[in-house]
Amino acid sequence: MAFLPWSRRFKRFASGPVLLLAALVVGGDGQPQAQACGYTEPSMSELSTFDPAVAGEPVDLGLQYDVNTTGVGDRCAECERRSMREDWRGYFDGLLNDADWEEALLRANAADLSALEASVASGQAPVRLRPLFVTVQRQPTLKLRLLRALSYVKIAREAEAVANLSNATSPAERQRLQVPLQKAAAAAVARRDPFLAQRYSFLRLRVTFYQRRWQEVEQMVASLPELNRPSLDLAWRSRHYLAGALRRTGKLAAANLELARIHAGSKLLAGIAAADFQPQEDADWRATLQQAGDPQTRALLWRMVGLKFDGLAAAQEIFKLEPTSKLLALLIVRELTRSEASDNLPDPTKLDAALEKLVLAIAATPGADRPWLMDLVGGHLAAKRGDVTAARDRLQRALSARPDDQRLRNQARASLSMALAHRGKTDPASLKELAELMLAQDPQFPNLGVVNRQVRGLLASAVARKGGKIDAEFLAPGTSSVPESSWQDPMFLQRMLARTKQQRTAFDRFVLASNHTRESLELELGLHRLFHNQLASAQQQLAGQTAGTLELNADPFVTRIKDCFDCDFGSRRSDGKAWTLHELTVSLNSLQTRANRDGDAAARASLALGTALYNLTLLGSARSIAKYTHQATYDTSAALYWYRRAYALARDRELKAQAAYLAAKAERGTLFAKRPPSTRPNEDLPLPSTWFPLVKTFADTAYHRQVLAECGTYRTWFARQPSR
Amino acid sequence: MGWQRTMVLGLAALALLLTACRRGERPASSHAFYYWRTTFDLTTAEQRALSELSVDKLYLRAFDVVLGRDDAPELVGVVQVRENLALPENVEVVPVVFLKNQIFVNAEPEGESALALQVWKELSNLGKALGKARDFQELQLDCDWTDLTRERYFAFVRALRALSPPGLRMSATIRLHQIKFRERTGVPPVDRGMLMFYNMGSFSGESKDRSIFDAEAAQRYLARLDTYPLALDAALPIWSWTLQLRDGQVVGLLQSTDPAELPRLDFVAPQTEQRFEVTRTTFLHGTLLRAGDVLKAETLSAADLRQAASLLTQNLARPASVRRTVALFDLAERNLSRYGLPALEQTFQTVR
Repeated sequence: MAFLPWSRRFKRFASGPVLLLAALVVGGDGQPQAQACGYTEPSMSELSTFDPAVAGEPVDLGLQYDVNTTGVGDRCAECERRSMREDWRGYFDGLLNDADWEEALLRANAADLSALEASVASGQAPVRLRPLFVTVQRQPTLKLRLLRALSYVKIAREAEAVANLSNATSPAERQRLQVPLQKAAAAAVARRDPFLAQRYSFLRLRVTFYQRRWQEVEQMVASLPELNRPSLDLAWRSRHYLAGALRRTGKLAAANLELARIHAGSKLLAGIAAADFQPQEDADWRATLQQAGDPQTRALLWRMVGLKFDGLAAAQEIFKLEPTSKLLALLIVRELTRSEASDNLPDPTKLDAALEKLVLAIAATPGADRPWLMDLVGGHLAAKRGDVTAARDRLQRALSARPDDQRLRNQARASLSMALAHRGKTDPASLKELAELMLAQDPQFPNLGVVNRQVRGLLASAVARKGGKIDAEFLAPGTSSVPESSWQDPMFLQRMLARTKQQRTAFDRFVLASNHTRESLELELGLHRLFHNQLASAQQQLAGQTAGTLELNADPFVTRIKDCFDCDFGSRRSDGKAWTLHELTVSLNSLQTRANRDGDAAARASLALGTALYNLTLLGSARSIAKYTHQATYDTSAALYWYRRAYALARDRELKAQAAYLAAKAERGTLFAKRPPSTRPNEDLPLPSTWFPLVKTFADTAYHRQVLAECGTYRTWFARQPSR
Repeated sequence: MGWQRTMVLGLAALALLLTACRRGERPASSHAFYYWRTTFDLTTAEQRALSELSVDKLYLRAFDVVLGRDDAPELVGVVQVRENLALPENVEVVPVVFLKNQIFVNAEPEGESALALQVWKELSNLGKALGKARDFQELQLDCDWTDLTRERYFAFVRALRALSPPGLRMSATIRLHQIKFRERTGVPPVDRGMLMFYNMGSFSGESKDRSIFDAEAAQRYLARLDTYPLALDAALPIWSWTLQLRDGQVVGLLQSTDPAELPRLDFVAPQTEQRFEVTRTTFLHGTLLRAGDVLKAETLSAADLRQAASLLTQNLARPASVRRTVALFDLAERNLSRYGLPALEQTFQTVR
């Protein structure tokens, strides 16, 4: 029942800069965070029907991100290192190798740094820093710069150690750095070294922040121009500390304004700035807007609101402020994709309606940013309503504005397809147009999978309503109105197969671009026939068909007292080859001929038939071939038929015992198959009440002894039987 | 001597009669409040309420245990005790640890002991922070466990008990669905349960639907209340909150928004006494409100509170002599002023 206090949202405010700067100076191996294994979040292209990249916004600004999830607040450690590397390269005029300098900057310990400093005079450099030393020896102009840089690195390490709000670090430790930092900064300013002047001043700023001297932080940012250049990255980071200080002194409005500016100005800090941005009340929000001063800055603030809280509301506000704002496109596209990808929106159609109204207004505004994009979005939204006329009109306008934009063309094609599918007309002309659009779609269109599924699903419903159940099943396998029981109807299977031969029209070709292929349907029919003991028909049907060439994962004639899938997996015929399905049917038919005779030989043939048919079921070792078809079954009736025959024919007692036991297994399978799937726990197979007693009558046989040894189920049953 | 004998017999009979009547009555309940803010600091009004309502216990939210990074349990939101807080001597403080059910879903096998140790250490710190190194008499666990997590949660409870001193009572919050479906969810191995007699309604935009307390919904859970195999105390709601509605659906819950403040906001327009339409997009207590949203205030009237109390009295088991604790959620000035102390006193008196 705990209610999480809202104040907890602020807890990580200062942690971001700490982490980021740790990487900047001493930290981080620059490696991306390890991904959790086993599950990957779907991308937007797998969830929505609109390709956000068509807007042309830089994707790393977060067309698809939610600021509260992983991937946005996270650091881009490599981006930070790249920025830092470029800064130092500039300082050294490119005369030092980046990797050599980073060895000193990031990895050398204090002793090594001091040794390197000394070495520049003495000539004895630490081994790991020798390349650096050699470079400097060759270029004496670098010497002084390197010495100054090393001094900086040493004190930066000390500053890093106290750059935290922990009470474990004593105030004195922080305070003692102030004077040397101030002196070093002043010296750098005096000798016109803006690079180190900025860095020393920045360190001072950080230490001051972690001393919780918030007012001083504000004053420093206002009064130290050296904080602002040459590194823009450090300049923005200084302002991030300023934002933190402002917040901690209750100047929430100013803090949020600062964060909005940082978000707009710094790619590296955009994520953390968005995460820290948090207006609280109407009063501070209005104050922030007022302090913004101009519509463009207010629009930046609303963009932050849009990225973090409510894209539609923010876009509406930005449109009021600045109808031609370049900030609208990203928010709109993001809301469009979010309405499809999010499963917790109250009513996506209402969001779509509001978006549609907004984009039409933007598109109609003279001077609007990317009016073609608004037309495209407007067309897409009309498409989702099934308004083909409006969709066509707007999509055509977008295409006309940018005839060479392939991404736009792909999206327009997809959107128009969706419009036709949503409309649901099944007259030949509509079906033809839709099919042609979909067949012409660029395979590189990132949202093709989602669009395809949606269009096919809608079309399946439409054709099913007109009685086209076969087409519906092709269009949307498993989700159409065809009941599962149809797959046990050979007429249905044959109608499905017959449909695969009709490929004349574009609609035919679109329907048949399905997971149901000729091969898969031949397999269904072949297996159906096998499981119904129509062995000759199965052989005939599979002859010359691709399905007939499919290989079984195991030798289906291997028989065991206790089934063992893993033991038999990969087992092959005596010639070393895997059984193909057609070859199996040939063998079964040959066995059937022998089984239809008399005596032990016929009994053995019957046993073999039963075993093969048992092993094709989900209880058997060769189940892989049927497992993912509609014919997959626990029903071992076909096998039971042959085991019964074997029992009836066998004269040899051992053979008869075997037939009885195998019939018992098959009986168990038939009982198991009768249970509803939801009640089938893995190990709880029912007892074969007909055949176990018959098996017991062979208690004098060696086979029976083997069964007792290997089959725990029978052994338990046997032990409970009354003795004579 | 005859009349004296008669008098004595009569008096004895009367005494017996009176005793018999008292044996049938329930003892007066023990009064309690929940304190659920992250900083423990009692205002004057709250102090007065504790005194005037003869409050015996204060259930203090100590901290939460939630799923942290790497899906490991993490202790968060530890209550901060204001320095020099004057805590009434006669009020027993019962720390409450809220455990999110999620932490037990994929918990590491045998991880309960480690978690119990972590929790116990933090509770010890709280005891010290309360200034007198108080020894807690009771500890309460608050977890909405399910049939899937019951074994791990119960194992945690046992592990925590093993760490605690022998005399320490342990209680656990019990929700109505855990009463009704006890065979599935089990009964936690604690000394007493605290029945949370609220949140049985639904979050909905409909005016008639109420999420804090709904007598009709409550009725569905009362049938087996008196046979629950754990002695039950009871918690009743006196808080209020505001639902944020958009297009008729609930999109947010403004827990820290007192409905009483809504009429004073200049960016809402009242639709009814309990519903307000947002007239411009802005922020309220950190939540963005979009123009057109509707804020639906939910409060429990004094009559509703009485009804809740009565339902409990009619349906809770009648123990012979154990004093039941009745706790109100939660102690906050705005809740106190909404009802007034007499109404709250009446609530305490009603539940026995």
